[in-house]
Amino acid sequence: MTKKKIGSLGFFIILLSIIVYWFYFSSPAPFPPNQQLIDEMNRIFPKATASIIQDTIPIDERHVLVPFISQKDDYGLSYWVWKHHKWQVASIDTKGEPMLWKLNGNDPSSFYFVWNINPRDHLHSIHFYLIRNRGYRIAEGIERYYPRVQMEKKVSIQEKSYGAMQLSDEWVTFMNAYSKVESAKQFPEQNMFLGWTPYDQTNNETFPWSSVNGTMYLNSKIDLDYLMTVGKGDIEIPR
Amino acid sequence: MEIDSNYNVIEILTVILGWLAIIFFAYTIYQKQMVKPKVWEIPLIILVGLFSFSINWKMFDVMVQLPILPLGVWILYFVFKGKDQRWQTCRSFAWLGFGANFIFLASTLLTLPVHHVIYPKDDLSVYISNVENASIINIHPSAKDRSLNKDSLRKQLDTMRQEAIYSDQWYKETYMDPSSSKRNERFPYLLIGTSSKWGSGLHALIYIEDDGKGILLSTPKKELYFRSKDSLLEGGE
Repeated sequence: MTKKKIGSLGFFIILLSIIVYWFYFSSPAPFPPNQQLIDEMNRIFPKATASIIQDTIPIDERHVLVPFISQKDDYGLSYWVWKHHKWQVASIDTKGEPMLWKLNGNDPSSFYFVWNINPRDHLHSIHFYLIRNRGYRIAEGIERYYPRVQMEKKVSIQEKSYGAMQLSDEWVTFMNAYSKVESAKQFPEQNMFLGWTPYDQTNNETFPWSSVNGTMYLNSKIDLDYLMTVGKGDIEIPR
Repeated sequence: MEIDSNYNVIEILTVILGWLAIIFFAYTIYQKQMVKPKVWEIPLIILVGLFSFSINWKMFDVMVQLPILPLGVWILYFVFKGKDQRWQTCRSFAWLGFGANFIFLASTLLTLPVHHVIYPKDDLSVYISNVENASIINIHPSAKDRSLNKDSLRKQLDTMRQEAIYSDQWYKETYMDPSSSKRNERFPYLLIGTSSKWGSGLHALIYIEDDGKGILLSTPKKELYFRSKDSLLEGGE
């Protein structure tokens, strides 16, 4: 190889790495203004009919939650991600029933509860739960008892219809310890789940019918989980 | 946040030993050969030779893989079939690759008793060896506002008695009144921040009983139950 060839190859490699860096790793540009968000959402997913942006909630540097109100007066959620050097809308849900947004695969400390409840549903608060049901098993002379795990987090939706909440440290600690033991099992059990219970002003269980069963636009690069609703009767209270 | 660096050191050591043995055998074969292959080809041939059809077989609580069909050797045979000379030079290495499966099988079987002697599986102090950063979290609403008594835990680690688990009884006691949702959990606390003995690679969920005097260890293989004389918790009463 001549010197000239080596030189141009080196130049090409440097240029390529700059482009790759710019495309994948460069720090995010400022988040677009509201009107631009509305236009982009309605262009990508016309059913959204977004008309008012309620807020933009930065989850971290590269993830932003944008609650919005549609022309049909539905309260929805849109999920924005900085990817390929662009702010992209990763998902749009025309209604804001509580969901779990997993920013980083299996790391529970990157999990967020997100919600946007229509005021028509007159909810007062949402109780989020981490539950593992009590159980026992006797097989081949080995006895196992599974204590019930029930951890709770209450969120008021009086002032704001929407929100995002990271799982608390204690939840994350439990989930990590649990999955470490389960993954070492020959037959892992998946009997732990996250759920929610909606409550009205009088602290009775209710159901936010105007906030569920929305239509959803989903770009495959986002990890969103539905949450189970837990009946008030399934919640244990100490004796 | 805890940084978890507890690997199964014995397993890692035996895998390294296994590879050293393979390198040793490869070297011996190479020395004896009249017509020698290129050196960089040898690891490749061994790796392809490793490829085999094997059956899983449960032995002393662990799955071991018993190699049956030398698929990798067959592949190499078909590739080199036309070139008789080449097949002659690489044949021994291909079979060494298949044989490596048995070397790893033997090392797994060797690991088990050694691991058990160094880290006895019924010993509480194997699972809870460092309590410096230990604390408890409440995992059920019936848990009270209590905290861990580290000294009490440290002092009693070696003297706690192992007892039988009455799983069905504990379960049924909780549901004495099935119509009410007022229930207390027998193990409403989880011990966190402890580490198992260095190099054991063992993990367990460690529950603490509501009276503060019992520990339920839930490991991937089984559960163990220990009782102490004095409470491991303080406050709350």
